[in-house]
Amino acid sequence: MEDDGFVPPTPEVISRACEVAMALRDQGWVAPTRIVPDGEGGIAFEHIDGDSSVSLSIHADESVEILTFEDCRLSGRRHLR
Amino acid sequence: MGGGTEPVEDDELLYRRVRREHFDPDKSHEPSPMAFHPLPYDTTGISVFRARYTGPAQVVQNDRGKRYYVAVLRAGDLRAHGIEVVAAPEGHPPGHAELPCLTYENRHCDAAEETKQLLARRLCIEVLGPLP
Repeated sequence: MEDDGFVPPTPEVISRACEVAMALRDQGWVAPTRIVPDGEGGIAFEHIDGDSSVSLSIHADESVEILTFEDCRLSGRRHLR
Repeated sequence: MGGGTEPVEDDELLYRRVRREHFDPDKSHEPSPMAFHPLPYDTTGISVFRARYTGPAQVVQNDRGKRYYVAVLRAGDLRAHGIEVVAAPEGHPPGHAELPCLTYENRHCDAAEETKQLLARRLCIEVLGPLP
């Protein structure tokens, strides 16, 4: 995956993403529409539901952030740690 | 044509190279907003290519045997949403242009996050490929 300056998710980020995914599953979250690399060593779970979407990012520093959008406008943003 | 230095006109189509990790036609007809996420080399804006100078095959050309998708956008649609497109010719492939509102420095600001959503979810006309 690494080319043109695109950095694939690190093993630490993948491990963290697995932890987050299991926690969300246990809380009843539906499975994401897709899981994508951010090109900086992080990874994002993206959920699309009509005009609404949610992006849960595990950044390269393993911090976790949730962004929610309504009709492409940012309606919420918070760090989980 | 002026060699790619003249301003991008509203009716011009633009191509954006999209990694296969960022588009799965079996899951969604839209590319991921992450397909427009700036990387460290995007200091003055993410890259697009003007269709009047470059074809999709040239946009994805590489010597690593990698295949890519190509997102198609229209300059006037972007401007109608406040997203400027500027010519920035830099060699091969010809017709390079940039979206100055999306840079590595501002990649996580609220406006950049919304712009990435707009590009992926509202402004992408179609996705070609994978190519070659």
